[in-house]
Amino acid sequence: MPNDAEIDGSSGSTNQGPVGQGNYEVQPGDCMASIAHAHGFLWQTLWNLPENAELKRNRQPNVLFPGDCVTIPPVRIRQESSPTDQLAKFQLAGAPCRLKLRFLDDKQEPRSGLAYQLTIDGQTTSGTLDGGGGLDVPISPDASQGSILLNVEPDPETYPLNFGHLDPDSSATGIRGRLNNLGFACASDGDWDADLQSAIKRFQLANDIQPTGQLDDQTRQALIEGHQS
Amino acid sequence: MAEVGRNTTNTVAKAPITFAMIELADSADCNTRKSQWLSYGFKDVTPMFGKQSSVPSLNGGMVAKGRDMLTQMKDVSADWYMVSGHHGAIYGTDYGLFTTNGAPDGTRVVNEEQYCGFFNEAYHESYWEHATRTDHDPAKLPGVPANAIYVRTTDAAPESIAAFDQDNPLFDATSWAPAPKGIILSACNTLVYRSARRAWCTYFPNAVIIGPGARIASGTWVANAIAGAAMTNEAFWRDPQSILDQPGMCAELEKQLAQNFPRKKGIALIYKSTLYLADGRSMPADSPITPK
Repeated sequence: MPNDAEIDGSSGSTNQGPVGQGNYEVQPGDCMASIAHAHGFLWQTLWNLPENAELKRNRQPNVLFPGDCVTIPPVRIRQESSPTDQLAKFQLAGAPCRLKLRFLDDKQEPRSGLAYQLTIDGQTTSGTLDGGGGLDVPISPDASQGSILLNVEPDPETYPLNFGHLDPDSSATGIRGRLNNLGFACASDGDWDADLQSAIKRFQLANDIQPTGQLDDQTRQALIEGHQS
Repeated sequence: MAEVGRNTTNTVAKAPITFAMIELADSADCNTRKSQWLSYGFKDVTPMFGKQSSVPSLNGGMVAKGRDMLTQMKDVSADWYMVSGHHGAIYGTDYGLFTTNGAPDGTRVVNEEQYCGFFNEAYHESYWEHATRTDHDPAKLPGVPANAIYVRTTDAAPESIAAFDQDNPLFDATSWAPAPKGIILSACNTLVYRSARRAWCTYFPNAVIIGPGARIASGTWVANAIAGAAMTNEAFWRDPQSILDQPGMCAELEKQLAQNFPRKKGIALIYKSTLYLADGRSMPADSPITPK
């Protein structure tokens, strides 16, 4: 009889299922920032509620798992008085969401200096990847999909982007997402099956790790370091 | 599709592409392919020989090292494999086993022969030319049967009718290795045998498999056909599945390959258990082939 590690493909500590309690069930693409934005809160307000302590213990605010539950209290209405003949300025508290991407080539070197076009919800901006092959731009918390085109000669490369869809590294889908982003293709959905083990083996071979196909602690750590999240 | 988190750093990288080669005869095709793949930055992970500038043929003095290489091949998990050499029925005399009204029947051979594979020159000159299913004693054969290498391309390994090792390291590798992106077969009639197509599809259900469906006279025929196909650019070698999964692209690739192949019906491809032929037909790879 195989042990649990062999069954689920992981020898590290895992937390497979949803966590948390509350009146909102996390959907694919959600993170605390998008949930808070949709419900009129700062994400820190929700994150620090005692009712969300279990979620906070097990998750990062920006990497939730579909099915996790979040407690969202009723919105408190605040009234402000201001003169009718004067311009009133209200500033939204909190920092904007950010998209942080870095691009590496097949030798794991930064693809620095490449011009890019980033399209999010129909709006296109241009820029150049920084010295680390990265970009760091503000995005709306509810931005869900986009794409980035890298101006590579002779064939420009386009990468569709699915914001907020990176699952926790404790889940099979989270491991799949990270492997896919790093170029080790596997289906984005699915459990700890042969398809995922194949991608893990490829990753292990490329990183000089014993190619077992199992997500041992060394492999998990290398994957998180490689993906940087 | 990159699935990215908001407010966290995400990395989008190209995985290093690796390839491995088995050459059992003329090295020209393998060397051409190796040269192009290296120019893209791909890595040759062929055991023992991957760091050499050219691909050695496993003949003569290379046979002993070649056998070691084949044993190690199952551990490399390459993205692409290329196998080159002679290819045919396990014995030349097998062709006489399939007749219709007393005459040899080529259609029956390709559809019914259960045992075929790649082999080197020593095998060709000894077992293939002179042995039979019932008489394959190496002591009786001319040539150098001790140097014979045979790599089966069928699932069956008939010990009872052969006196030599038949392990195909690629087939063995699939018991644990990741599925490769593709396999290039450079030899006569690699995809014409139904039993070979069945085996390739069974072991590599998602790989694109390119190979001749006819005899070839030169070790550069396959290389030239690939080089002349507009689709076979770097993006194709990196991720053929994302291209061939699109409607019509397999037929288009087959058309482009055939344009530069000297024999009209000479090169074929298999993708996800469908066989594409140069005459425009496509069919389940497990189907018998009938003359058009």
